[in-house]
Amino acid sequence: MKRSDETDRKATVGKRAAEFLVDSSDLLDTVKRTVEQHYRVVAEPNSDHAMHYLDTFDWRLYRSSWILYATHNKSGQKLVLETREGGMLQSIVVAELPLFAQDLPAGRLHEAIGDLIEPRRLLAHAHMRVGEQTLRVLNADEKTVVRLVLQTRALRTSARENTDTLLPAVVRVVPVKGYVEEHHMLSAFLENEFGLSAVPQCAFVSAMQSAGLTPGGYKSKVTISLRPQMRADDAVRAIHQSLLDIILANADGVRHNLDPEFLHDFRVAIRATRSALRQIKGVFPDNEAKHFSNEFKWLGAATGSVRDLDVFLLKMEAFRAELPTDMRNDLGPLEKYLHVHHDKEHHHLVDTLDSRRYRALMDDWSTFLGNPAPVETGTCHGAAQPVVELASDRIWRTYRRVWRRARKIDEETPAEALHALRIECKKLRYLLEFFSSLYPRDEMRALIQPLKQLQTTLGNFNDREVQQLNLRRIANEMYQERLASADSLLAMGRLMDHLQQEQLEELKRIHTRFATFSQPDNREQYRRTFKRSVEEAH
Amino acid sequence: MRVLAAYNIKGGTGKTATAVNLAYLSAYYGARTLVWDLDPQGAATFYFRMPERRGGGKRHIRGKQDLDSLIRGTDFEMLDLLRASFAYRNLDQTLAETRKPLERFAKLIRPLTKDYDYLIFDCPPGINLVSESIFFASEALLVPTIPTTLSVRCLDLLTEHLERNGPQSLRVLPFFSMVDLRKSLHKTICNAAPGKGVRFLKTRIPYASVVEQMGVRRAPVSVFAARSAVDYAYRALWDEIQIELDAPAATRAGQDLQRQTQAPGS
Ligand SMILES: Nc1ncnc2c1ncn2[C@@H]1O[C@H](COP(=O)(O)OP(=O)(O)OP(=O)(O)O)[C@@H](O)[C@H]1O
Ligand SMILES: [Mg+2]
Repeated sequence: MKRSDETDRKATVGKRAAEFLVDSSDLLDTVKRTVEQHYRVVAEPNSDHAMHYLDTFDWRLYRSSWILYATHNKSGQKLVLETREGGMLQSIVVAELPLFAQDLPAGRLHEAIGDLIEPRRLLAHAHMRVGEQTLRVLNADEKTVVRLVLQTRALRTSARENTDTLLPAVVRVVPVKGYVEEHHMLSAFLENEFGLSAVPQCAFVSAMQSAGLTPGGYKSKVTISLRPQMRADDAVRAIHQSLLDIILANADGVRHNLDPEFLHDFRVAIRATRSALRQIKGVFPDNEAKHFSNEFKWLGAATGSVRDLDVFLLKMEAFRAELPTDMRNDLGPLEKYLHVHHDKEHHHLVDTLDSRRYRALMDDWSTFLGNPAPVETGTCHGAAQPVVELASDRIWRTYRRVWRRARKIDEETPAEALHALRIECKKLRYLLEFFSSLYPRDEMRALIQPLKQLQTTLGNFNDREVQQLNLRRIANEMYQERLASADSLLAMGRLMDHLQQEQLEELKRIHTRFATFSQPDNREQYRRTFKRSVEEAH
Repeated sequence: MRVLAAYNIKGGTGKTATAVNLAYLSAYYGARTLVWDLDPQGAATFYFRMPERRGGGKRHIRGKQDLDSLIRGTDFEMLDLLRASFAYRNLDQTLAETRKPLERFAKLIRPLTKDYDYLIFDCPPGINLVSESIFFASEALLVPTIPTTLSVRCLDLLTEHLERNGPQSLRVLPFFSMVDLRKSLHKTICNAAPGKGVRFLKTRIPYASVVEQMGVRRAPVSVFAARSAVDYAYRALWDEIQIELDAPAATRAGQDLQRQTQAPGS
């Protein structure tokens, strides 16, 4: 189903205009004059507009090959969705720039990208000022058969906020459906007459690149590539640096509460950092590792309550849908409570980010990572070994711990044991991700997939548990502060039931997930990939 | 894709003007729009500065030729045209020779669904197999009606016919066209809000010479007479039609065939 949607969507898109870069504005004038001499042309009036390149912080649109931008001039504002390789999907007049999926105009645009960006905010990654003139090339009936759009452009990106980058001018040859020959003719004319060559990709994207911004650049996971024979401490430093980059990249979005995903990525990177500090022993001096681990624990804890509230707020709509229609309004007080407390907790979080302790942590950690101190004595006994040995050893041991725990679960297993298993799985997952570049990509993918599914189920199980606890706590508070009517409390009670139901369903899934994870094939694969390396090393 | 047809049994009431001007506005507001000119006279094709198709003009009706290959872009972004062919003078016959003529158009346009937000048929006058097939393919008929006794009678004929034979989902959206309120007859008829069981749309298209100029300018009125009374009228009409199409059944203008045909039985 998903697949055919995808092909349908792409099928709706026509051919992209040919685009040519023109280095000087003199040349642009010459192009214009020459075209006017050779063809019957109507020149539309010059127009100025601003374009804003919109995408989520993590470039979800760009990565799915969408280009979304808003243009505005004196007469109004338009939102345009194009594909990177194809043409335009929709161009639609809007009163205001959309911030979230729910602000997108209903219809095709919303269908195409609404779910994709949810729950992220659309940010303007770049702004372009464009001076534009359209030449319509006519046939004998004075009918437009191809359009030539001449643009001069200046760009500002989020990477360099206060300087305009002047870009080469662009000539776009925009086809009119059914007049293919004319389009070819004009494109060939420009190529032959002026030696212009077509721009291979969207001009906006190449423009951003030339202005120091890398579309698709941000990744929420460690993606560095390690060499197997690297010193272990260098490799682990690189992993930590890449996690620190993620933390720093998200801090602003967390501070301004742009959308809940900033905090989510921020927290995950903090947790992964701590996990690495505690899992990968023997590469850093023990006392320092311990200090930083403690500090990251503090930081992680400071983000917990906002995240819990985020999760509830994100679920409100689904919660409402679970209730009978006549009870849906009864969740109003809960939503209000969540918002009020979210504001308050977010304030605390901003205080944390402004604190001396936070700044010291970031500075010290960054300095620590930047200054390799190759001491191989004392607790750093493993610092100089090849990283692949360290990695295989850590992964193999952790895998065995997971395996031993998981083998024991059955219908009677108490929630605490599942919780402990979930934590072990997480450790294993981090290790696999940190070190995945050391092993064959296909093997890693095959190993991570079943683990990921098991984790998702365990995670969902745990989330429902936590949410029930939180909901109970909130209900009590609301009751004591007289913020909730009996109706509201009843509605919340139903949500408790619903969460419990969901939790039970996850529990049923855990066994099948575990069965896949523990298949002999999979175990054999772990053994082959990691244990052998461990043995070879000794 | 929403499918609309500019239609009237009577000739010369402003069908083509409706199709061309509304299609232009639809595209102007950002919807991908296709006009299919079904009239062998090809007035809409002419307004968009294209020649009629000649020769072999009917293979696509039998499903032997891809519609998409026949479509051309107009002078306006987002607005495409499927040109008329002189061969459409025998369209009735062509259709009669196909297997399920009533479902023919609905089937033909299915592949276009993903490419367009709106398809607007510009129909020739008359009532025959072609129009029946268009009724089945369309969500609504846009019926420009001149406020004269004869025109209103034609509308009654249409609604009576549809009540008996029309597809239940089809909506009839009549509106007054070429209105000249200096004429007392026009005034009387407009104010009487006539028609059997049909409510007229509120917007009226005034009689104005700029519409006639479309033939000279070969463009929609909003292009060369922006901010004229007719431009405003067409914009209001397009807004009203869109609201009507989305309106819940109970508050709809036009004729609700579904309710009327079901009422006696239930
Ligand atoms: N609002 C108007 N004011 C003045 N003239 C109009 C108006 N609308 C249409 N006309 C003119 O009336 C004539 C018929 O209009 P049009 O071609 O749109 O009608 P039609 O219903 O499509 O006709 P046909 O039945 O021949 O297809 C044309 O000459 C057109 O210019
Ligand atoms: Mg006509």
